[in-house]
Amino acid sequence: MTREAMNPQDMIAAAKGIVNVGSGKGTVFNRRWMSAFGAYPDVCCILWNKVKPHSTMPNGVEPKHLLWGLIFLNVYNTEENLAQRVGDVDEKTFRKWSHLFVDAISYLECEVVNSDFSNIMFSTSFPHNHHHSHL
Amino acid sequence: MKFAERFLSHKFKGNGLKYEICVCIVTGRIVWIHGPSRAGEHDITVARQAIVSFMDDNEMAVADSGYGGELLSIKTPDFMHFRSADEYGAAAVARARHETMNKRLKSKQVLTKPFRHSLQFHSSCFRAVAVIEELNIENGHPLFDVEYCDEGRKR
Repeated sequence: MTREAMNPQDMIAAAKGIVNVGSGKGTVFNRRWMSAFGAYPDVCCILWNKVKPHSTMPNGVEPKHLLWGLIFLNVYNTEENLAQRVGDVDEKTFRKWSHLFVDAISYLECEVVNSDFSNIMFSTSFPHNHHHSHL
Repeated sequence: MKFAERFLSHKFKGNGLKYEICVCIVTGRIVWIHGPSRAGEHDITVARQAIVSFMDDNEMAVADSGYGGELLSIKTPDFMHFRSADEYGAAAVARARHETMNKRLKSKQVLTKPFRHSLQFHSSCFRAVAVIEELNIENGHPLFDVEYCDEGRKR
């Protein structure tokens, strides 16, 4: 597996066997993809590139393992059912990779969820310099 | 997660956890995640634990009526907090948009179905879902826009 930056076509190729990707585009593809993973292929690539699995995870990591983590979050079926769906793997194998990627994605919170309001302050023209957010 | 009385929520008649999410009104992006707390914890109690203290003097939040009591930090749907009907209406739209964010998060079944792993892993799952939704928002699937003109605090 190449360690270069992932592109959406690689991610769609990795999903074959998990979802019926068909032609890899169109509304039917989007519906099937989002139903399984909850993140569009380009977002999956961004996740892969941010996590950098080849340097942060055990040997043997593949893009399909990221999809296992996403299907775990989005479907949350029993391990037996999910392990069968992603390619008839062992439940322990599925658990290993899916939990590794869930933890790795959660660690991106500091990078992705930006609580620094100062950029907003200077890019908008709030009267009274008030910054509003809603809970 | 095993049943524990301290996690009981009378609202949902079962165990639950509560997270606090803050969405920027201007950009529609997630800017704050806090939790988990027990589901029975009051909203304003959770807010006072963290976000009220973290906000600067020139920052305010718009929230639902469960957050009443922090007049200098949080505007609730009470007309006395707003200087004009326009801002009052815009705040209602902002709150409505936040509900669409809640819907997107809850569409992930890990946050909806009975959780079968540890409490710590639930926190990881929630944060992972929030990161995924934030990236979805950034990459072509944003929440709807809100035109909000802040008119300051009503004193």
